[in-house]
Amino acid sequence: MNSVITAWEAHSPLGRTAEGHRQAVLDGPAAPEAGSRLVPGFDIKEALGRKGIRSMDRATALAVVTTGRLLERTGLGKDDRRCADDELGLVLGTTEGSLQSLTEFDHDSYTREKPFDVPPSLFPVVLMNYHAGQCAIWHRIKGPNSTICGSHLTSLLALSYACRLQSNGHARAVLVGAVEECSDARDSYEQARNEDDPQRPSGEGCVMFLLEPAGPVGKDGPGGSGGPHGEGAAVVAVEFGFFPEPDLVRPAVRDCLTRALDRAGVEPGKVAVVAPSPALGPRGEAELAAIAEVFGDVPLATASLDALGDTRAAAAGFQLAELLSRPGEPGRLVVATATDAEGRVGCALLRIG
Amino acid sequence: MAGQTSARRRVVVTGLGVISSIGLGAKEFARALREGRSGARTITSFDTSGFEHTTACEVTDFHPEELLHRLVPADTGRASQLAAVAARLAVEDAGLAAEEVRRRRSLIAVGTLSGGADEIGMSVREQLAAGTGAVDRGRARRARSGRLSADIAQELGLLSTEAVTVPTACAAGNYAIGYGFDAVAAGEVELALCGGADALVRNIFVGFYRLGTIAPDVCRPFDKGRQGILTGEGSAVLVLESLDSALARGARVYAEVLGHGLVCEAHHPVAPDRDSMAACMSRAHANAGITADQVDLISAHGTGTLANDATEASAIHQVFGDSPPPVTALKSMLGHCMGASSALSAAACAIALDEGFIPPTINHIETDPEIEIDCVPNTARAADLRIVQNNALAFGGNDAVLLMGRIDREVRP
Amino acid sequence: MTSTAIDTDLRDKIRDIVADVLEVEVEEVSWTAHFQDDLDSDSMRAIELLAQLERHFDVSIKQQELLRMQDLASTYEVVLEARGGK
Repeated sequence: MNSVITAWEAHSPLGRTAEGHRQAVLDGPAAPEAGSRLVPGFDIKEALGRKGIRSMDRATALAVVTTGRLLERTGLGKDDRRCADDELGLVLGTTEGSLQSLTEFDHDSYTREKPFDVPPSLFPVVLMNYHAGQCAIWHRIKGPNSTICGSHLTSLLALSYACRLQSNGHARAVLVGAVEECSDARDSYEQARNEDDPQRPSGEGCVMFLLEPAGPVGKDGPGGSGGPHGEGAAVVAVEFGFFPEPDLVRPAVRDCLTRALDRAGVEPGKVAVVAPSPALGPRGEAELAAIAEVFGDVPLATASLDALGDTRAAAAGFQLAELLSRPGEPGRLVVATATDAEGRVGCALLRIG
Repeated sequence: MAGQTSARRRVVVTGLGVISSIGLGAKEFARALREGRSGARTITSFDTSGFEHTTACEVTDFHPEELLHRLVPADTGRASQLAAVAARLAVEDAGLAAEEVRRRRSLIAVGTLSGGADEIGMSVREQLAAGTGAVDRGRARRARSGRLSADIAQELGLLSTEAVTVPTACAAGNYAIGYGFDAVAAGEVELALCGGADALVRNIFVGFYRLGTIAPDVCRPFDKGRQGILTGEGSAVLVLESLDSALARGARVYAEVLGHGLVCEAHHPVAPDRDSMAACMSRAHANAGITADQVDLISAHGTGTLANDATEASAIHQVFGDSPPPVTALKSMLGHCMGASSALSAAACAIALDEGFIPPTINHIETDPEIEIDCVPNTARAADLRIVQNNALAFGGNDAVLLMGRIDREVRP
Repeated sequence: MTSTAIDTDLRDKIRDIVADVLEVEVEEVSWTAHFQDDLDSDSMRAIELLAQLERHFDVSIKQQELLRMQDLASTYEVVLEARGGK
């Protein structure tokens, strides 16, 4: 891999900026109230103005705001951009787009006199690539624009996708991350899916990373604030696996971690900290057991899990954000792991500073 | 930008799995393309009362219970079934034993527009009928769009695979295949199973109907009297591996993947933009290391709407000048299969290169005088094809162009 | 322009809907402000406007009428006709 995270931005239940989020991680976030973990006080009109938001869903607004701030902060804002519009790519993860908008669209179709009496402007909103397309329109991002979907592995799949875009010459700088919104529709689906299994409350938010080619960070412009001291974080490996049977989670995570370490030529003992996924129940326990099997009693980065809740597509992104928030020695190796209910496992290995 | 990177492996297509309204399996699909078969028929998968136009390109005669080995059809959404069966057919077509597929490090990339959204629509109807907010557990579990890719890994019992769903709407198939190409070309995976799948979903039909873009009878791309799209369903999965790997195991090679280009119009959620389309084609040419004059055939996005066909033809002229190569529109036969569309087209391009013919644009009466292209009307044409371009455009301004070449002679300049 | 007196209630209601769909202030929707040129409308907003008018006034408006619906004055006429033809 040849990509470096040079900056990140977040809009989350922990903070409305990366700095706020980072500080909350370091301070230990306050114990959250019961129920969904919302981005407090987030209002679409307040965040984006009155134009172009009429049919917009909450997730899209979170993504447009977060992406815009990351661009502004790194010299890539649309009015003052240090690269061409089409050299800039965007990779945005989602679990299912805006489930709330989709159910409202379907509801109209089934309840109105004519089955096609639906608001036309809601049609593009119900498609899963709406968030990414809106970010591109708002911020004039004309390079590759991709939406990635894969349950709790989404952020890692998006990171892998973004690295390949870059290494294959499709984009120079890539914004990569994921977004989730809380909604009644989402809650009713999650409840139906997981009635037997323990689960965290729904969480929402957006987390975005700026990925640039390896080399001196910020060589041709600003950037370079991936870690707490402004250092970049090299993406050393992103690795995946699959468990075709539920009792194979632990070996799948173990083998995935081993493959990542082997590929990178890294001894397990060199890894300073591991951020596990928000999974609870047998799958979560198996993930932790695999981490212990590979790394021994490595420190775990779990400060934000409770306050964030289950942020699904964005979850692994927030795990990476926590790793980037924690202080440590330059050159430290950190790992995030994840599993999902669909059978995927995965991990990312970063070198910070 | 988008230039060729060095030390790329050559990537070839060695297997095709196709489920379409005009034929199931690569052989039957090839026959249908040659015949110019139409998949248009009256919709049966949902209630069409209240709609004036009720035609779509449905897949009939699909029996997942006979074709799936590990997945349980009742627990699997239709789009996932279409994806998993296409993957199984593709692997069989490639002559790859199950153990061999499992042994290789792989990427699974499935493009889609709706994913599992058909289950959500059906659930809304059931919830209204029952007067309850509760969602059925089976529907909730089948509605996961991430499963389109994960279920392929599940069906094939894979362990060392990266399974990703790419929901970039109507261009998703090309996105997924381009991604598979990049991963194999870089030597990061030894096998890619990539393509697209979409079921015929009522709310998508509703959306296009509301926009006034559903054709009353058939889809007539580039025709003076074109009246819009027919929605469709289907799936196509391509097996990609390196040329060396294919040669080493004596595999049949359909075609080589030469490269791809991606751009975002960043302009409007639904209105197409000519300059971006043209830029996307040029990017793909650069990525593949070819020039426009080397392209022998364009498989158009060609939806059959007034706006798309005019804009796409204009973008083609912008890149290819006054005499572009023939431009065929497979949606005339297959309907608009959304995220599966460009994957089905890519499978058709591989077959066209392999067998040396151009599938026709059917239902054609009179070419739109504003659109000066040869759309290969109504009858397939024998052709010595070396390089074929597959266009895909989508809501959200997601454009993706894929280039494929014949393998039996040196295609690079 | 119709020669009969303007139904101001109808006009004001249409104006509200136009302002909502085009995301502009009600005051900006003058009788002759051009939707596309002056109020930044586009094809999607136009069809959304048509759909919202259909919903609100319980009428059916043919999509071809979009060509006529360039400003409040012409839109008022289209709605009036649609009501009369109901």
